[in-house]
Amino acid sequence: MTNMQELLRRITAAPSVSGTENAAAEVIKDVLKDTADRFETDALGNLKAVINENAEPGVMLLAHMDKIGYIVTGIDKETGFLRIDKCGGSDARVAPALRVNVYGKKTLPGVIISTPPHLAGPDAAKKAQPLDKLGVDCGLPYDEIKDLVFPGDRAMVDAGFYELNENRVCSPFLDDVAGVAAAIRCAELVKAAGGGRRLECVFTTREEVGGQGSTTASFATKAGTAIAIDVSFAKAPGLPETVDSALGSGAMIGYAPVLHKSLSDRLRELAEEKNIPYTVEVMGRSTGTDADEALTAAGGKVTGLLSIPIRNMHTPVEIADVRDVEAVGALLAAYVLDE
Amino acid sequence: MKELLKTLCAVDGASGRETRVRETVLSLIGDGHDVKVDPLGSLIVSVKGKKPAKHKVMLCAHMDEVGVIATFITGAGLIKFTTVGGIQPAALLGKTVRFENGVVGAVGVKPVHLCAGDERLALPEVKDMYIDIGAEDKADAEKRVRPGDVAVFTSDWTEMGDKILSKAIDDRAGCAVMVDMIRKGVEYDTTFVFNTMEEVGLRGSKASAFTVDPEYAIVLEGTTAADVIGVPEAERVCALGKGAVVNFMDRSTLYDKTLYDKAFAVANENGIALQPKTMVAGGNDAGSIHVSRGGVKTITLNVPTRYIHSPSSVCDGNDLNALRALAEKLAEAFASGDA
Repeated sequence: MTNMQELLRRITAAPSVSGTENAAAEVIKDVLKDTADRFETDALGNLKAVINENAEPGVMLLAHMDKIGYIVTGIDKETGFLRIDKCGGSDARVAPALRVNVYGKKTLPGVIISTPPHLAGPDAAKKAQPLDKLGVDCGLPYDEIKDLVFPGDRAMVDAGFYELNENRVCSPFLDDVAGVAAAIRCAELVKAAGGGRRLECVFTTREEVGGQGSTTASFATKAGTAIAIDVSFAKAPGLPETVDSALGSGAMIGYAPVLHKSLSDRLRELAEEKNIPYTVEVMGRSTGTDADEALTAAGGKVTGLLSIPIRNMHTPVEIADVRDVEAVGALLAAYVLDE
Repeated sequence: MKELLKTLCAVDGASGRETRVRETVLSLIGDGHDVKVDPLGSLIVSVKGKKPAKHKVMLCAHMDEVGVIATFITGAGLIKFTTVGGIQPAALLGKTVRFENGVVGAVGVKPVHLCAGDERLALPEVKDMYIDIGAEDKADAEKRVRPGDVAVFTSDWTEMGDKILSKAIDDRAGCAVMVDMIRKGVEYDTTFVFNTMEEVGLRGSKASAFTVDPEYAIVLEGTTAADVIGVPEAERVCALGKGAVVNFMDRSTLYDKTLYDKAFAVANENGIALQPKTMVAGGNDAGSIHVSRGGVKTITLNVPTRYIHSPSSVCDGNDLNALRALAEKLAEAFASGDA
């Protein structure tokens, strides 16, 4: 079994802002090279790892490998700074003074500007600037940078991966690196146990910009069951009391009108049987994950959702507990092996 | 110079906790100097020149950097804090900080998904922020962090062309210049002071200036540069790549006009790039030094620095070299009576 912290660290480092996920796909392929029977990719860049190729029935797992980031919209001629906008739901409040890497002709380090204190008006301490009012400083004049970076290039936060203690990690992109790692763990557990359903681990693209990767992957699969793996809100100060799944409390089993109750119930039974810690997460409508696209794809799928609780979602300091990632991996493996 | 700055920026030392910076400076300058540590922790180094000085000249820079101090641990094991020195809320939110014992924590953020309307850009006050070190509860947190412990921004040294990105450039840049001058030797007897507690009210310099009792003082600083996208030229204060910066007035000092003019004359004679600080903003140790005892003729020279008091401040290596060259020539002019 791959060490969980190392696995998270490695996938986190791969540049994969929505629509440009190839580097992450390569890392995942390398991690699963001895586990998967074969790999497939499609036109949208989804990576599918197949295990138990000839078994029936099949189950498809969906974990998205794209990360939130920024897209270059232009270059300021006077300063050489890059104008940016969000690519996925990047939080503008945390943007000032963030270190980023810009993936142009080569990888350039840069920093999102922060308004100098003397120019910060009376409201500056209370209200953040939207991203299109900020910019990225790569330290290069226009004449140099114009040949290296083009509008449409992506930029991604470079904020470090910290092990806060033996269980908790702090890093950007645990959404959905944690889900990707749980799917990988499931694949490793199934392979080690032998048998079970045909398992298709699909590492999807573009979840953060609308779930187009899940749309095409869910259409293409022959599996009748789909389980999305994503992150959700962990209990934290200032959040509604209904956000009650603490870090370290295990897998979050999703219940929602768009999810099959029979599958959610089965996952809960398995968690009880196997002593896998879990909490229940109830959503009143759709889920905002790859599950939403899977549900209606190609005539419809039996659809479920498992989540990993994280704090500070869509910031450079997402915090997860690796025990929760392991719980999701173990619960998924229990389901795949439960013929 | 760049290597010295890198070494010094890597050391953590918020105001009042400058011991490690002082030890680093001491190891960098080596043995054989007349060295004294005053009761506030400032380091006073008297360096013998080739000639005695006609006038007593003191060069100084401050060792401390901005940071945060833990004030209270909540029942959930989260750390309430206040700032040490001026930090804008947006520079703190979603960033990581490192305590003196190496414990890393993240400044937590309410996920933007759970914010509605204007709240999506609303910045919390520092009193409502907290640092998350991954602790399970109060008792677990208190094993690693106690009220009164301080932390500074984490940040990796990054070079962007001629430009340098790091925390603490304010004012390890000034420290680096002085270390280099001490190592290479000086023309006239000179006193170098590495001050404490500048960021919390110019305190270290108040005590050390009394002790040193100089006739002339040259304060070496990092000052805010606003030459960034979207800022009109008149509000830029100073610009990277245009040399060292000299103040005529800031919020702590109205500078001696003769010294200000002399700085430009010396820069001209020696082909050193120098620009005026074109806004009355900020303040520095000159504020306490120029009114020390019966008065000290004082000047401030700076390296222009973008995104000051953040994890990602940026300066230009060429400006640092200009500051180094001008500090030496101006000190010689003052010491020899040519001012």
